[in-house]
Amino acid sequence: MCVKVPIEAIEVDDCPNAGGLTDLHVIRRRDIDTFPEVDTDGVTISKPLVPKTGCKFVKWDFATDSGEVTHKSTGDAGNQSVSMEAATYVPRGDAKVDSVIQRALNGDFVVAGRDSNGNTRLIGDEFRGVKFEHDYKGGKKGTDKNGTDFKFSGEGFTHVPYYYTAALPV
Amino acid sequence: MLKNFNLVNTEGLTGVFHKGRTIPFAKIDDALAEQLIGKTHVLERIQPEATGTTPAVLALAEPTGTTPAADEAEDPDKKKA
Repeated sequence: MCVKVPIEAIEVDDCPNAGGLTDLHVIRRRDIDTFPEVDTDGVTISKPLVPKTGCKFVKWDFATDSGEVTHKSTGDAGNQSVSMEAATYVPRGDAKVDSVIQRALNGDFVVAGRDSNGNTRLIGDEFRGVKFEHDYKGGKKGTDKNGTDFKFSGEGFTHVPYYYTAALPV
Repeated sequence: MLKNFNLVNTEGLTGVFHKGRTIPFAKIDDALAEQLIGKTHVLERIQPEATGTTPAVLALAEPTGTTPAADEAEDPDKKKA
């Protein structure tokens, strides 16, 4: 059993590098009705993702310049797969944020992060969601970092985070 | 206002997020809907009026004879239109 994958040249255009996330949207994987098929390039989804009736992607705000999407190959040659994560930082702790944390623990999520280049990446897929992690630090003095680091992460994927070019239902 | 499209399946939703912008349903006009059609499940193109299609079906049906079977075959098309 093997999939024959053609390798193509990588060409890079000169253009500004605008990194970082501008928006993050979250949905529970069980709230997804139809997860669209992947296009022939294996990384792009151009058809709409359909949530179950009454469900939608919710927006997770975060501090500017604190969001990022990462994915990397893990495993030895012959056993490689992809791990991926979306991380953000929410400044200051309050009951509302902690209430969200309380309900998100042990959740199984699919996350859509839009980066400054205009690409929306889907972290998680139809069969494998990503887990939610948080790390709150109050800081010892006024100039210390006081807030919560959020992370959605998963491993064992057979693909990189999909490029989602359709519209998100919000 | 939407003239050529209907909003469907909007229960529990407030809008769509596309190209970095959150667009509430009230702000989707026909021009925007043209770009979004096929990219979301909440838009449906309104089919042209049935008056345009019915005579064409009749014209096709008439030369083959007006058997009862032909009339029956015609009915489902009308329902779809």
